Amino acid sequence: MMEETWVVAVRSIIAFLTLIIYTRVLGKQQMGNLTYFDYINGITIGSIAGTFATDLSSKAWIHFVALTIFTIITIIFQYITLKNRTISKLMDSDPTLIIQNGKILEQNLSKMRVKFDELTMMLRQKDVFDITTLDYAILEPDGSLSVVLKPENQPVTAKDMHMHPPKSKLMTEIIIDGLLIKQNLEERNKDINWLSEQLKKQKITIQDIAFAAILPNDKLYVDLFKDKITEKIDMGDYEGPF
Amino acid sequence: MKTRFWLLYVLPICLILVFVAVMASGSFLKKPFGTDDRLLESIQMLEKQVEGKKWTEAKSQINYAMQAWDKIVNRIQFSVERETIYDILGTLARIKGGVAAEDDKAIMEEVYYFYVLWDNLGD
Repeated sequence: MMEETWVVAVRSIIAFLTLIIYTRVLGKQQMGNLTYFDYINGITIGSIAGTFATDLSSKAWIHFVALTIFTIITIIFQYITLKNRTISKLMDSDPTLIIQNGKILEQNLSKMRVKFDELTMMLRQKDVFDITTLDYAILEPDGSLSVVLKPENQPVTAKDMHMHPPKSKLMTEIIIDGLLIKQNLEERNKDINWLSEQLKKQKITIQDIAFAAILPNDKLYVDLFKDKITEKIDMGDYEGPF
Repeated sequence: MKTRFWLLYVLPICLILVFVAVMASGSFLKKPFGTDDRLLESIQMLEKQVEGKKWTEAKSQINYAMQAWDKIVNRIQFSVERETIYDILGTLARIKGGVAAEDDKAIMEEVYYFYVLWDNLGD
């Protein structure tokens, strides 16, 4: 007896796992850095995977082939645009200057089909509320805006102040869900004795800890499973039951 | 390093190969694997029985064919179009009706349509 539910279940599993494998092969380009073409291509691949799972009127094989071809072409184009700058520019377009010396370049703006409202919104998102504080604004191929403030409006850096701040370090997690990550502890040149001493001071054990990390200043940050928060903050905006 | 190699290369490649095997197995799985799923042979015999107007034998032959089709569907349903499955079921049902009515012309039309559907099944 043919059971449609089973067929859809099997095809969904195949589509899901194939999509995981293919997206892993396609690489780790950040979502925010996708160009418009990458975005549309991603949607198309997702759509093919969707019909792969549910469209029983055609063979699963047909959708699998389409998914594979789309992935292969994307990889080929990724490789070509990596090696050939001209094709890369053709495919991904150029960044476009839309503000120069605080003046909006209307022609470039209309070429990119960006409205003034959208421009002011993007500026606000970049914390720019006064257009005259800008030297340049550039519309990137992924649709985001990059801004260069005039020198007098740029924030003061440690270098400007001739200061020598300590070298930057990272936060290193050493306990997750009550489990010690020895490798990370050693990475920060600490040992289990140092950790036990720190925990003893706070009268807690490793098993009580949900998350612990060594901060850039070498101090220990600890978050317990029991947070002991008495004052609850309500983030909801209506009284409803949920 | 070894685990990473297995997880990143061997496992995905094996999965893709298994998926391809499942999806492309239709033309292999439609072939008979026992004595109760010889659909094509059964229809070919039915054709001869209808030509010889042996209606009693044709009746049991079409019943066998429909049961054989039920068995084959279980195997091929993951790799062939649902429409083709329904088309073949429809043809068998019409052949059964033709046998009941002892209408050899109608049966012959359906039998030849069945051969085309069977040839394309899983290809």
